Amino acid sequence: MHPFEREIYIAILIAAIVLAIILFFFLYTLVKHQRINSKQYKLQIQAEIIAREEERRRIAVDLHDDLGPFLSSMKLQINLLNTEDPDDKNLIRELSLQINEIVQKIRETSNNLLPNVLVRKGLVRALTEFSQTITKTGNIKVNAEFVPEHFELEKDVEIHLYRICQEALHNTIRHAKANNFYLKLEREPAQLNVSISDDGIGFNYAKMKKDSMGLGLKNMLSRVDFLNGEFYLDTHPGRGVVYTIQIPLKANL
Amino acid sequence: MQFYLSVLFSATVIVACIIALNRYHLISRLYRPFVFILWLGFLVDLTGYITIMFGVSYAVPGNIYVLINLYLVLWLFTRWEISQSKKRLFQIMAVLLTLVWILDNFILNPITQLNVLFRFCYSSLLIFLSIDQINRVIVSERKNIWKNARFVICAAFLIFYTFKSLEEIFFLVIDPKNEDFLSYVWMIMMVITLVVNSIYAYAALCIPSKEKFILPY
Ligand SMILES: Nc1ncnc2c1ncn2[C@@H]1O[C@H](COP(=O)(O)OP(=O)(O)OP(=O)(O)O)[C@@H](O)[C@H]1O
Ligand SMILES: [Mg+2]
Repeated sequence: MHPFEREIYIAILIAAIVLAIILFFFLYTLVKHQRINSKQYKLQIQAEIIAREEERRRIAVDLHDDLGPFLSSMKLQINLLNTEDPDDKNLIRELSLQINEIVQKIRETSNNLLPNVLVRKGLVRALTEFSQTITKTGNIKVNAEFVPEHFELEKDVEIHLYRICQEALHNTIRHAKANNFYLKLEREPAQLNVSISDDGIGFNYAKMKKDSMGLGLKNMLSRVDFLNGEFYLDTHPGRGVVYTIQIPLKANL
Repeated sequence: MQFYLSVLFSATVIVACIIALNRYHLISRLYRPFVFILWLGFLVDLTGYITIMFGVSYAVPGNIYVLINLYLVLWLFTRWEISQSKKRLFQIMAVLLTLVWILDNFILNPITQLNVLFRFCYSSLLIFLSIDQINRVIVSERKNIWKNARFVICAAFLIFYTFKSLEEIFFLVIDPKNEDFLSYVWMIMMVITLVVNSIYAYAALCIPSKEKFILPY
């Protein structure tokens, strides 16, 4: 071998090692920064979700606790009015009916924002009640199943699961033209399995993603992320929609 | 011939220098050290060529230049950094590398020759710091990354110091009598210099007047 050749090989070998080290370091820091960044992104989303829930809770409580009593006392006062004029009497009756209606509306709105049953009796009752209310409207049959029949989870897990189911059902009502909506929650020691499906028209996920991704699916996903869970969506045009959600739980049955 | 070509190629950094100087008062203070880095490089190259023309060795200014350049680059990175502990880390690096420099130029070797040990440590450090910065930008930038001055500057550093260290390896390992091969190495280095100087000029144009706020980490 020519002596120069030997040197050149050595030089190239060293150069290759140096480049390999640089490349390795590049990948290493890339992964490191990706981790930090995604953690931060997650914190940001969590802050948003928490802020939104807090806002809703505040509005619901304000509506319910401030406006409600205020209107009730107004109704009392109107009924105290003393008049002989039949026209006025009629008006008073009319007004108090209207106030009743307003109170009812406020209660509904407040309940929509933060379901009372959810706070007081937990997720299972809230979802059962919700299913019954929707089924009663007659457009769609909601089939809810819980295994075991009753269980409770941590409050902030429950509220997110409730919102997820709520959004899924709203989507089915709005888009799916379905007859049935199935909801199943399975409580396992360390995990909660949620499967949600409908027998509607389904949709083309890729196409929908390109056209217009609504807020609904995104919110569902970020709530599942918030709960450190996994979210699977299976749908094809004409074959309904199936969501499978797995949420890890702190093992305490 | 090679000498004049090399003067010409190195001198192209003047474009970046002028753009940077022109925008000096416009650009964010986080990037001001970069302007000094460009001008220092240009001026030292210039003195280097003048000393060579007068037949004096370039070694002493060259050895001092790399130390000052290290300080400037660390200064730039310190300005970019938000976290106090990282800033402290850069200061420690500056001290450590100064010790290496003293060791290399006064204890192991005379300052009157071009010394390799410090250059090797310094190139590696700048390569790693640039990579770290590049990756940070890659994962956090949501807009056009080619217009991100940090990314562009660090890419230029990365290219330059990688090839610089490869060049040094070649000149160290290969017998100086193998002129053919070394002149190829030299030619590649000239092309790299030209490319890097153009990137510097582009970077000088990209430097924003205000630093965007991103969530610090
Ligand atoms: N169960 C479903 N059946 C059929 N299509 C659906 C179903 N769920 C969602 N889609 C389709 O996916 C799209 C996105 O849903 P998403 O909930 O994200 O947005 P949206 O319901 O249109 O608006 P938003 O929920 O923000 O009010 C819908 O526009 C609809 O075309
Ligand atoms: Mg929706």
